[in-house]
Amino acid sequence: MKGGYRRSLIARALVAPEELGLLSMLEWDLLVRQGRRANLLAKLAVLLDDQRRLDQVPAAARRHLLAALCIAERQQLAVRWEVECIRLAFSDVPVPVILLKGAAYVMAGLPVSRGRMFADVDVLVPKAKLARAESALTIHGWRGEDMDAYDQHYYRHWMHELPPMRHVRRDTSIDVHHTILPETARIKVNTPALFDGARPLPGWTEVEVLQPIDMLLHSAAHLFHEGELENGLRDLFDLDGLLRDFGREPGFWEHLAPRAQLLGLSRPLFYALRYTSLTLGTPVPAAALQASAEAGRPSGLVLMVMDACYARALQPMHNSCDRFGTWSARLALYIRSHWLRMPLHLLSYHLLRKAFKPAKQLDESGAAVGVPAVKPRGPHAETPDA
Amino acid sequence: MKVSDIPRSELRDLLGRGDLLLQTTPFVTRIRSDVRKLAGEIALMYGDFPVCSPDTFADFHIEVAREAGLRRWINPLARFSFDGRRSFVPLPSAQAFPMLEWGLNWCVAAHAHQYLVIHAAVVERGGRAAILPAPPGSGKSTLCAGLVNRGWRLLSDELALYDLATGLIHGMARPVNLKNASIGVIKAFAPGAIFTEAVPNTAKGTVALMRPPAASVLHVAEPAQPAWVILPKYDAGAEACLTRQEKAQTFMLVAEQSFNYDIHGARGFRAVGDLLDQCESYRFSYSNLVDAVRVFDGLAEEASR
Amino acid sequence: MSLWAVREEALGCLRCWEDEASAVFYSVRSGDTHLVDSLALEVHDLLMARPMTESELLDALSDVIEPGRDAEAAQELRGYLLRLQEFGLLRESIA
Repeated sequence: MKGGYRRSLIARALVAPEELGLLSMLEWDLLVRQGRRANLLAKLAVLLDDQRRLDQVPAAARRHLLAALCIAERQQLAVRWEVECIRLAFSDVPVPVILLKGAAYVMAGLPVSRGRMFADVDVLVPKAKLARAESALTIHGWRGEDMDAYDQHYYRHWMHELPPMRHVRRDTSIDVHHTILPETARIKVNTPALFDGARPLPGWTEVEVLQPIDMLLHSAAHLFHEGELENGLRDLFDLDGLLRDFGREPGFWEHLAPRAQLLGLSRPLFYALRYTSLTLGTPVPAAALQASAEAGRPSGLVLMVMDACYARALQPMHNSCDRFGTWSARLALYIRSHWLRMPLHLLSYHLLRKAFKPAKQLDESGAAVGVPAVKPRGPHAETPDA
Repeated sequence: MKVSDIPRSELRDLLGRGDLLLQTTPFVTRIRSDVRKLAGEIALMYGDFPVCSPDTFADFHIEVAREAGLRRWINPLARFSFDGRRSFVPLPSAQAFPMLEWGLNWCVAAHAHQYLVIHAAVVERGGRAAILPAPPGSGKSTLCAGLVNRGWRLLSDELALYDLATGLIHGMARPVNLKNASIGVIKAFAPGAIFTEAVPNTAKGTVALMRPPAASVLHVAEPAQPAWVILPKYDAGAEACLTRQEKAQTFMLVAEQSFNYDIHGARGFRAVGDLLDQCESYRFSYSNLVDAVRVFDGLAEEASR
Repeated sequence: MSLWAVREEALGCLRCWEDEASAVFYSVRSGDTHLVDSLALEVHDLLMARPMTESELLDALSDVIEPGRDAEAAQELRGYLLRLQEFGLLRESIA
C-alpha cells in the first residue's frame, strides 16, 4: 500500500496487546481518546481481560476501559431483549426476518460480538413483504421517525430500507432493509441467494441470520460502500474477527471468492481481504487473496487511489490520526459512496441538500453513537480539527 | 500548585495550548480554550484547585473554542468539544464558563461508570451525607448553596458519585450553579460568597456560579457515608416541613435521576437498594433558607446522638 | 389447570422495606425496573412458598377481595398475573 497505513495506538493495542507495557501515561491518554472515538475501548478491555493483562493497565486508564465495557455489556442485554421483542412482533406474520451485523453477531454468540458497541438493530426482509413487516412493527409499537417527504422518498425508493423506525416506549431503533445494497447502486446484489443461505437461530423459528460466509461478505459490502466511516475501524476489526473465527472452518477460504462472485460482491471482498491483511495483519491464506484479486481487483490507478483513501480514512476520527489528506480522503469516500448508491445526476442535488439541513439534535449519548443516515455530515457541517 | 498560584497571563497561555490540567477529584480534566475571559473565570471559581503537570493522564479532554467566521465580531459564538468531538450547537461566547461547567458535568455523567452518577446535590455534616436528588426547578441548588454557607461541606450541587463497591458518596466540590432569583437570594444569605457575573439568556435563564468554599475543596478527596435521601421542593410561603417518604418510591426517583442507572443493570438495582437500606428517606418543603438550615442541622444533631 | 410460580431468574430481584405498600422489581431479561404495589408483594410471597393455581391464589387473598365480587376479582387477578408475567416476575405453566 503506497504511503502505508499508520496504525493508530488503539489499533496497535488491539493487534499487539503485549506491547502495551511500554506506553507512557500520555500515550495511554491518547489511546483512551482514540478508543472512545472509534468505539473500540470495550473491545480492548475484553481482549486484555481474556489475556489476563488488565491488571497491568495503569489504574487511571483502566477505569475508562472498564466503563466502556460496562456500556457494551448493557448494550448486549438491550440487543437481546430487542430481538426478543422483534420476534414477538413477527410471530404471527409469515415473514422471514434476517438479523444483520451487530445484532446477528450477538445472537449467534460470535466472539466478535464481545465488547462491541451497538446503536440499533438491522434486519433484512424480502421486498415483497416490506409492507407486512412495517405493519407488524407498527402494531407492536414502532413508529417511523419524523422526516420530510424528500427523505422518506430517499429511504424507500433510492436506498434499501424503510425509514428507520423507533419504538415509542423503549426508544430503540430498527432499520428494515430488503437488500443489502441500494437498488440504484451500480452493483447488483444477488439477494435471493442471500435468503436461500440464511439459517434460523438455534431454538427460534421467526428470526434468522445469514450463513457465516454471507455474514462476512455483507460486512465487507457494508464497510466498503458506506460513506460515513465513523465506525470504519470498528467495522474493519469486525471483518478481522469474522475472518479469524470462520477461517477455522474447513472449506471457508476456498468458497469465499466463488460465493462473492455469485452474490456480486467480488470487489468488496477484494478490499476486505486486502485491507484487513495489510493493516491489521489478519491471516488470510495467499490462495484466497489471489482468488479475490482475480475476480475483484480494480485497475491499477483506481487501486492506488483507494489505497490512499482507505489508509487515511480507516482510522479513529480523532485529530491524532489525521494527516495531510485525511479530510479530502474522507470526502472522497463520502462522495464515492453516494456515487455507488445513486445515479450521478441525483448525487449533487442530494449532497447539497444534506449540507444545508439544520442539525437535528445535540449529540448527547457519548460513547456509543448511532449515526442516523440523514444527519448532515461532510465538509460543510463539520471540519475535523486541524 | 494551585490555580491561584499561576499568574493570569500564564494561565491564559496554558489554556490556549490546551495544557491546563485541572485536578477535579476524582478526575483530572485537560482544558483548552481561546476565549479570553475564561482564564479569569477559571481563576475566580477554581482558585483553590490543584493543577497537574502536563504529562498527567487526563480523564477528560474538553475544549471551549471560538467559532470562526464573519460572525466572530457581530455575535461571537463558542462551541464545546469533548475528546475532539464537537457538540452540534454553539452558544454565545459570553456563556463560555457555564458551557464549560455543563460540559464537564456531561462528561462525568456519560462516562464515569465506575460510579452510579445521581443527578443530586450532596452535602455533608458530622461524617454523614445528605443526598438531594431532584428534577430541575426543585430548588436543590439554592438549598445546597445555603447549607454550604452555614457549615455543611459541599460535595456537589449536581452530581452525586455513588461508589457501588464501597457504598460511599464522592463529590467534586465544584462551583455551584444558580439561576434567576436564587442568585439574589444566596447573595443576601451569604454576603461573603464569590460569584461570576450573571450571564443572561442561557437555556436555563440567567445563570451565575458560586465559588465553592475553600474548606470543601480542601476535603474533596474524602468521600462521605450517606445517611439521608431528601427530596427538596421550594414552596413559597410553606413552613419548613420534613415528611417521611416510602423508600420504594424514593428508589424509583433516585433511579430515574441517575444518569447511568440503566447501564449498571442488576448491579445498579442492588446498589440503589443498598443505598436506601442505609439512609432515611424524606420529602422536604421549605420557603426560606434560615428554616431549611435549622431543619438540616437538627437532623445532623439527632444522628450524632 | 395452570400453575403460577416465581421465575428463578427473578429471585433476589424484588426488594421492599418494612411497613411499606410498594416494592421495586428488576427484570433481568429486559433490564427494566418496576414499582409494584402490595398485591404483587403478597402474590410473590405466596408463590415463593409454593406454586399455586389461580383459584388457590384467590382463596389465599380472600381477605382483600370485596364480598360478592368474586367473579370480577378472578378476572382482575388473571390480568394482574399476566402483567407480572410480562414484567418477568412470574411464570405460568400447564400443570
